[in-house]
Amino acid sequence: MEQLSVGEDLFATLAVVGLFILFIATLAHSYYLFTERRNAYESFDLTLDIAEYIKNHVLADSPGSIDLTMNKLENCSKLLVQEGIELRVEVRTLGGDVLLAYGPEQNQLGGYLSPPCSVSLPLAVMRGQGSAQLCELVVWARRR
Amino acid sequence: MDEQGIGYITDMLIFALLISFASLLLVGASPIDPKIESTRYAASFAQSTLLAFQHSTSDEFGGFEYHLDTLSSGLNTSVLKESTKRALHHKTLTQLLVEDALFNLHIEAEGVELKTLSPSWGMKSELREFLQGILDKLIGGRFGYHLIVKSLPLDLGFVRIHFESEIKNFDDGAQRKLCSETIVATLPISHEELTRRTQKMLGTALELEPDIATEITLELWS
Repeated sequence: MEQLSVGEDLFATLAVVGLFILFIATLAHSYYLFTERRNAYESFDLTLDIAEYIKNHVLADSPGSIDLTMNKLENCSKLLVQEGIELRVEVRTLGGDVLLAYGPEQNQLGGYLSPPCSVSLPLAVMRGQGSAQLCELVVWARRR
Repeated sequence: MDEQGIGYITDMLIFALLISFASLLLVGASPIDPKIESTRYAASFAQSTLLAFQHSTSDEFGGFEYHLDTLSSGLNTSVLKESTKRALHHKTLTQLLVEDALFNLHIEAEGVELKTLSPSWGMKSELREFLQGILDKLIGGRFGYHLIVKSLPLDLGFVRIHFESEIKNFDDGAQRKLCSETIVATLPISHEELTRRTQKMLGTALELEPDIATEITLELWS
């Protein structure tokens, strides 16, 4: 049986190992980029789902309008925390005034590995006597 | 270097080639089509906008009022001016959009569009500016938009008539339509008022249906 000759040729061995490490590193980096992009999409998708759910079910008064009630939002947030999702919700006027804010500040919510994703949707806030104000619902969500 | 060593290097180069190919596939591959994501968000945004417009009243934006252009004969006194003022603070933005469409009557006879004289009510241009300002504030900067308000055509035998207006704001770079969402509203004026308006514009009385549906379509562009 013929003996292996790798040990006899040091240059060949080093070249083989070097190439192997280099290309495995490239593959790992490519996979990292791929998963990072996938996580960003999934995070945006999740935040949009949550924003739609809050607008259409949690705070909904009638389709397109909401009541500024904090209790339902608290319950919803508790359920999401159990699922490992942190949340911040703001209702802002088009002028930028905050009418309702719930959850930790955006900068506290932010993490190095999984930064929060935000989505804003227009809605009307009922003000009584048939009057409603055009506002924006802004939701930040982050998986812990 | 002996032959077996060269053989190993050749094997590794082929292996490296395969890994490079796999890496390229991974870098190029997108887990989710970004177009689908942006379309989904745009559709949700457009739908929310149209629904919110059904509730939001104009008084939240400083209200809207106009003067009827009936004072062309120099009797421009403040008392008369006050009497021709119409305040539409209580109207929702959807109602104002439909009212805007009512100023644009389209008449089609045998497939040919006839030109009609626009009424001289002072409301028309002011209303358009008012609505465009709100849309710019809400949508502008995020998407380009094209809002079309159109009543279903009424076939009167010899002519077809419909009301239609549009407000749009496209950036020069807007290339792709992301979504198109539509809601249906009824005309916010009485049947008698509508008959009177069309009679004024056409110069002849028409038998109109009591409830004319109006489609409000919001297209968002990227």
